[in-house]
Amino acid sequence: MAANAQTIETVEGLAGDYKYGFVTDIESDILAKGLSEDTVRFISAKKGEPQWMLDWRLRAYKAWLRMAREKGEPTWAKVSYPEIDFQDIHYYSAPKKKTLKSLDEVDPELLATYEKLGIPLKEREILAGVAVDAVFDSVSVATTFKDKLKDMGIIFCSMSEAVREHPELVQKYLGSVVPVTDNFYATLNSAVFSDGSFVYVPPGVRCPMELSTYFRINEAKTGQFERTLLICDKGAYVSYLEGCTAPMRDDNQLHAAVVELVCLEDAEIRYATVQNWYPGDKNGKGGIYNFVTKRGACRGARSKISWTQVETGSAITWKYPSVILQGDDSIGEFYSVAVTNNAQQADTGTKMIHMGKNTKSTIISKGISAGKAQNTYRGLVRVMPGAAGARNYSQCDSLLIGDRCGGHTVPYIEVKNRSAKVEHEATTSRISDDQLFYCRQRGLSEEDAVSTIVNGFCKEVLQKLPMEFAVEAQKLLGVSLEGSVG
Amino acid sequence: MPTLSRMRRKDQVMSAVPFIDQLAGVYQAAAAGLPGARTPAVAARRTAALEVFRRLGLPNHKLESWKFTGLNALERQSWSPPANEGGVDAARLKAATLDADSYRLVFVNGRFDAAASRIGTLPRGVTLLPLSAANTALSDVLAAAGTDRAVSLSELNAALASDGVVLLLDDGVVLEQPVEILAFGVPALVNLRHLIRLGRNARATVLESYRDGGIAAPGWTNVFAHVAVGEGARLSHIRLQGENASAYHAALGQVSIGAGARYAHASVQAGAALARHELHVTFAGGAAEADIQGLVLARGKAHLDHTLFLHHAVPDCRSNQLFKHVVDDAGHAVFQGGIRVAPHAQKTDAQQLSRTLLLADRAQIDTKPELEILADDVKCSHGASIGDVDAQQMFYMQARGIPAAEARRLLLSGFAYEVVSAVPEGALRDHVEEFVEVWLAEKGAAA
Repeated sequence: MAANAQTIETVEGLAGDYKYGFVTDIESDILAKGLSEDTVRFISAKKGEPQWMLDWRLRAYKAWLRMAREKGEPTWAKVSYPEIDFQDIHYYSAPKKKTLKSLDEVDPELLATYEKLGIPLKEREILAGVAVDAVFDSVSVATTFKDKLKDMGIIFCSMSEAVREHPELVQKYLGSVVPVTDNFYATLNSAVFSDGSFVYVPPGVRCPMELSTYFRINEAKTGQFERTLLICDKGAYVSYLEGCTAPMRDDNQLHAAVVELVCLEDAEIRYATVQNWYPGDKNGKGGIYNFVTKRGACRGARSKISWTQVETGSAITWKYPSVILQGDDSIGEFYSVAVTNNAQQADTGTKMIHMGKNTKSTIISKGISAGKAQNTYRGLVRVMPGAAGARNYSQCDSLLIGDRCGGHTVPYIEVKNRSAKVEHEATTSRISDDQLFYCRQRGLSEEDAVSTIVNGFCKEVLQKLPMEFAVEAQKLLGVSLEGSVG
Repeated sequence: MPTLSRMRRKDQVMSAVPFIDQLAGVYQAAAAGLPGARTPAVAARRTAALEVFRRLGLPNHKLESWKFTGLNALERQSWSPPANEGGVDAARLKAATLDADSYRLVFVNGRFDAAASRIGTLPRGVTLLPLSAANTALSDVLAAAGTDRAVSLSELNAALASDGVVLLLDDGVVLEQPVEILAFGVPALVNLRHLIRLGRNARATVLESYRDGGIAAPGWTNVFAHVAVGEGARLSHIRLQGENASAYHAALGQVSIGAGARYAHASVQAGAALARHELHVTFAGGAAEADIQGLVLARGKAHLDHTLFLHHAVPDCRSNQLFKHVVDDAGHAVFQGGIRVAPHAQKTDAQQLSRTLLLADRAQIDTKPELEILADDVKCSHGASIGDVDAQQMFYMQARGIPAAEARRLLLSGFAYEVVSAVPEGALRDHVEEFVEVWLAEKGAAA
């Protein structure tokens, strides 16, 4: 039920304008629309990739062709959209001027874009202590703090660079968590991935700063296919932030990213996302299709992976950050806030696969639905026969604002070990009149009241975000729900 | 009619005749003897239903609602119509009957057994008879349950239904004594089809019971029940499934609840190799209530499934679900509980809880509580918990001198009793409690 006749209903006053809707006008290097073996070869050649990488991509492409022929796109999620024409998409675009050494060489317009987004790169370098690997469309154009990280042996670079500079690591880990043939979109990504971030933290090293990448979809009709690979070696620690906004567009843009996390013995990875891509207009026109495969593997004993996500953007979100708990005593966490307003659709959740002994997982999911939006939590907790003493706690709450939206919960729980303890709770409710009355009585405007209540509803998740993100996320929740009450 | 029933071993080689043709053969062999065979409209409906099943086939893993339960094993057996004789001995029959006055309908080998039954005199406004005697209502009873692929089994049932119960209550009629439906048989393909319809403000209690006839061979009982609870009516519906450990049992119930009515359902599954009880409940009128409870007692290699779809189609209704599972040995329990709240079904209150005890290393549970909510002024929640018997509780009891085995039995009994206690007090509850206790005691002997 994307944009259709029934969406003409009165929606005035619903949702403020998208605050980050602008297009940066810089010349881009764009490959003509369409997908074929040549497209894959072109992308690979453009990036100067070695033969093994090209072979890997081609294998993925062949698998994808087979999937497309036999089954087509996955249809099980509770989202609906017109069929995607995969030949009507640009698979490669790069800003023309390539700048890699210093910020001075970066296109000034590009830098201005970051200013508008609130990422003054230079200031952040110094003030926030955040190393930013900014991905502008498909090619990384600026990498900071590299030297400092290098001293500690941490590799933080673009995926293309990693393929060239650290082939042994990439070959060892790429596709080891999300196999080439994992699912339709992951396979497509494997064939045509443009760029992304690569992180390797050596044994025993605690990464001293939050690593961060700002993604931004820019060139119209350019599918973004990021590929992120993050490896945390024995006893290491890293916290990674990912945030994004995208310019206002009328055509739907496809985004199919893959994120792989590898966590070895005693290591810990925290991965936080604030996703605020263009959600389409009030009637659901335009907006990003966000079909993402995110998965982490706790390979070693006592390793820990924690996903935190705040999803407010995109027309359609299809995303299930998961953890495979292989190592004994490993821990998986998933904290999520998903907000849908107007005609947005989100089908998101997590998978916790318990394989090792005494593995623990926690799932806290908060879904907020307003306007005509549909918000689905879909999750899996699976305890394998060998996962003695496994423990899971899940809580999925939905908040509905208005009588035309939907909030759905679809948890799968599969337990094959008696000593496992699994608990699941889910509730669905709306903002009560009592709560609103209480806030209004104390002089809060209706919108502030809703924002306050919603922030309280999401508190458990927002607390898990790194400081600078938490502030941004709270603002985002307010902005996303503007006009949804009253 | 040729007698095709033969004793079979589980490891019998796959039959050369394709599954679907076998079933068509069963239909051919049985058609002439089925109720309504001489009425052209009924015969046509049956043939059409078989065609629908032939087209759809058995539901399989590809259907989301059959994700956890597969019926492939059915295709590896060869099937025959029910036997003409045997099926139950007096002792088993007596053990399975309710120790109280009731309207009792006994079905042996898919046929109404008048000698074992006891209907007696009925109050005015009550129609209670076996399907085989219900000439006029037959077309009604055989009506299709839907067109969804998942209902292919109910179409097979429509084609092959050899008997069942028709219970119709006029407005305001209160049936004091429970209606008892008992099914036994020599293992074979048995199809029973029930129609229960309560008029406005009517009241009734129904006990449906599928029992072990004492012959351990793979039979396949396929049941379809259509239940309509009229405005302000009350129906208490209890279902016991205790078939033999090689049996297959598949049941689909379709329930509609009128305004201000109350439907209470308790289902206990404690037998069969593979059993699924699927219930579709729809609120058709406001201010109605549904209380659905289920208990699975699985041991050996039993695969027992409760699947429930609860559709809050209208405002102001209340539903409560409680499903409990005790899984031992290599047993496998499945619970799928879907709640759908339609747009505008405001003031809905829907609660669901699923609790599971896994008692053995190879025991497993798959559960999928599903909420689909399209109205905002609702109170909906679900919870699920899975674990072993609580070590603290065990310790507490053992510290007070209760031996471990006894303590465990008491805890299991208490766990199960929450569902048992949903059954109306008196002989009926005692009967269900005994059914549960027998299962638990068998465990005690094995431990």
